[in-house]
Amino acid sequence: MRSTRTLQALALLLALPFAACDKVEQPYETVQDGGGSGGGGVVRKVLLEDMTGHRCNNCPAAAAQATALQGIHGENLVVIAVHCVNGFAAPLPPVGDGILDSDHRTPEGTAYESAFGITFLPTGLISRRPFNSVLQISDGDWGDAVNAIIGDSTAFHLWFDALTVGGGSVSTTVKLALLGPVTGDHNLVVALTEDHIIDWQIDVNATPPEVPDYEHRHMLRGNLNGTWGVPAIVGSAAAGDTLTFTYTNPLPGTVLDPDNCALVAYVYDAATKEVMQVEERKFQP
Amino acid sequence: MRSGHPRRLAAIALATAWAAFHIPGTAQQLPEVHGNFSADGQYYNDDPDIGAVPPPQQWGFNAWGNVVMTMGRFQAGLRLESYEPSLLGYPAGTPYKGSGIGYRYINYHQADLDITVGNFFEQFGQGMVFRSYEERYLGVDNAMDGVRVKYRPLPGLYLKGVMGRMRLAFDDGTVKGEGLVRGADAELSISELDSAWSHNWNLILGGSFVSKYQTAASQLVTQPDGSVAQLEMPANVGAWAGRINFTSPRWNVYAEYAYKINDPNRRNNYIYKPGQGLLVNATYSTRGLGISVGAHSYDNMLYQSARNAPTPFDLNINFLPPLTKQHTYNLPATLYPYATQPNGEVSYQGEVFYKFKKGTPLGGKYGTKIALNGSTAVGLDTTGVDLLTDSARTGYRSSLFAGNYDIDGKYFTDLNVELRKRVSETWELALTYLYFEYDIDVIQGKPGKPLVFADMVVLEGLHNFNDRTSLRFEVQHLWTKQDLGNWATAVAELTFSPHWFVAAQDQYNYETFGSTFIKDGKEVPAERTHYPIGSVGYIRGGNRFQVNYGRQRAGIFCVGGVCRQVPAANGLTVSITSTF
Amino acid sequence: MARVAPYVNGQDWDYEFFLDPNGDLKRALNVNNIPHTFLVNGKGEIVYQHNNYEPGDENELYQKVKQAAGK
Repeated sequence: MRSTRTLQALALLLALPFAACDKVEQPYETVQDGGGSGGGGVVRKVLLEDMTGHRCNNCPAAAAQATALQGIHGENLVVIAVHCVNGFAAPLPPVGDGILDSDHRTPEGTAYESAFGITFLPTGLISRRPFNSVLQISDGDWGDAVNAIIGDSTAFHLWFDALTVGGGSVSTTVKLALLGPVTGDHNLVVALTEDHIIDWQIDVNATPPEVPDYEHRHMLRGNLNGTWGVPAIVGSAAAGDTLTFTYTNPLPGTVLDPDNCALVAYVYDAATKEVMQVEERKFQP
Repeated sequence: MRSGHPRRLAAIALATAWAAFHIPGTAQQLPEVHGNFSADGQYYNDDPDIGAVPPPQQWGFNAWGNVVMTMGRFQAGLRLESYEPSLLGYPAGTPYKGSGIGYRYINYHQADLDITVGNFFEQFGQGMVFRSYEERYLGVDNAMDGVRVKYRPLPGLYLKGVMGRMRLAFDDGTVKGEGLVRGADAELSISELDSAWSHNWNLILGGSFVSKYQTAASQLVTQPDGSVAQLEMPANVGAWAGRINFTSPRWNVYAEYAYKINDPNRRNNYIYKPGQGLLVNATYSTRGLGISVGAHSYDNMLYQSARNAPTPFDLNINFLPPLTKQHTYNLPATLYPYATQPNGEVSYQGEVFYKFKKGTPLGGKYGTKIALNGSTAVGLDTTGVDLLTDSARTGYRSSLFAGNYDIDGKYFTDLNVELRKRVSETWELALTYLYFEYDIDVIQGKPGKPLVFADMVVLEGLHNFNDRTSLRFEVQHLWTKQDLGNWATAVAELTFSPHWFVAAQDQYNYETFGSTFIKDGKEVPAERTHYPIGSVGYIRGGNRFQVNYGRQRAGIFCVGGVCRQVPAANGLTVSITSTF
Repeated sequence: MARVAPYVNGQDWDYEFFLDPNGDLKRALNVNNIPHTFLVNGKGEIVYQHNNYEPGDENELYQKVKQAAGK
């Protein structure tokens, strides 16, 4: 006669896996979700940093995900493509043969690679906030990670008050108005990105994999005010406070066509590094 | 050597280890506390010649300590870990940082029942559907956090059940992955069923079932034409496996088959094709001779507990063992190591170990050992099925063991011969020749890199000056016309038994064409570079203290077929390990 | 794991060996890295352990074995 304890253990053992299988029946497609919030009011926008490289063969699929998400969320989702990680972004030797010779990396991108532990591409940072407890998010989860933040109410109203481009330089005025009290140090970063860059890219879905005329989107070219930005809020700030930042910088030497450029301003919590609000302004709307 | 019920013996050994091993003088009812400690600190120098960039903190520091308390039938254990910050290139998958508790459990054990609550490691069969394990120095740890029950209702029948979530990362404590994993395994060892068994052979049958659960979701998937579809993901994905093992004094034959139902995930491009794996192995061995042949084929067998795991090293539920030989010599092991390709591969392996007896013409005075090994791995021969028109979203058609033997399907070939002989009372020599074919593109994930054909020769010698002092040296050379060209390595190790050793190693890449690094902001070709490293170590009992200084090439570090990238580094390393 | 037997026999080693496929015994004995040697006396007590191996270590081990047997 078996003891109750062993019977219980046996029951536990046998019960464990038998929930277990979902064979999904066709059709696999679900109804497209419209998404996007209604107009009016200031909502929290999300910054998606697509960590990528021209030798990363799975990265074009991730870039397509970012584009698809922008199609759903419109201007509430701002994308910056950061080229980083030596093995994926460095020019492919031999340098000089015309294939994958460009270097799209920036000192800022390399600093972010080190600070946020980016070792494997493609990966993304969604407002630099962990999703499922991890900061580096696979592109398959970008949709869910963005949905978790986008459209939330926010205390940060960020906008570009003025933007002038000419003579190889850009001048801008960025304003941050607080709609509610905020505590903690926050920094402001103003980054410059360039869109529609035609250059080489390795793509696992292409034959041959080396694609000479791939369109690189939203490529980070540099920051106007330093890798980690400047302090915007020190200690705390009250509702109604408005802060103004003015910059005049020469365009980075790597910029090919100023008409394709945009400025991206974002405010982040200096302690947690989480991006609280972001705004984009294209040179040519 | 006694014939095997090898795994049963290991289980008995483990049981007795818990119950019986304790410090002399203490009675069994008092609690016993044991543990270990390991700390590695690395100070990084800037070294533009090899592309070594120190992290902002200038230091890397990995440390962990295990403490286990045993009292009667109960055991409790804890591991504290600290990464302030972690060493460059560590771990293999999602980063670790901070300090905290990484592992903790309570275990109750009696003769036929074993229950663990908390963290545990476990393996079913060879691990094709479930293996939770750790390789601490590689940075692989997919510990389960949940419950495990092991029950032996009859002698010879072993049942196991597991349930829990797996470790993903470390941030001031373990960070668990999203998916829930449940599994059960049953194993029947025929010879143990009958207490009057008198045959010298044994037959072991086993079956496992594993399932993972992750909230069903609508997944946004990019199609080949750039359009985007939303696909329905299965919430529960199950896999099962069956195995059979025949052992006798000279023979050991093993076969395992695994099947996984639709598991669309990021790494297989969200296809609904089931996965399969088949592994067969046969060995014959007798005194002085060992022969082994094996073959396996995997198709879509990557099985992670989150369908969008950040890297391929995270949350792996299963483990697909490689058939290739794990080399220990510096050049074959660090330049071109092989890692199993879970999404599709066919691999064959054959191995012979033989010892020529003392006194025979080839054996000489002390005997000669020869080892021949050959293995190859190729990709599966697949026919793509258009994702845009196929409503079943199968992705491709393939069959197990139908490999792609063309040049573009070749992943890895390794043919090697090793001869080892003691030539005199104080000298022992070993000579090894290796031939490699290695596809960097697929194995290391570096697109654009070529298929490498390389020949290697290694000469190793051991000279005993006296009872306590010996010198071991290695001279290695690699010839290739691809990748980084020719390499030479020399290693010398002077040991003063039982406490001290001093070692020096230099790797020299004297024909370089290909690699470039950033120097002063510009891309420059690599020069002929030396990578020297010096080490000093002191060992006493279970404690070891070692200091290394030198240059480490950017490369790969592998254990058991799992590899991680190691970035170039230059600096000082201090390691301390202790077992108490 | 099955490839251990041919290797051991090919080396012509003349003692019993056991397999620890998932490192359970290694963890139970708190081993950090291998090789690691434990000497266990007749009462099941660990009387000596040594990490790493250098030629000549067997001499110290032999002394410890004699000590343990002499008790």
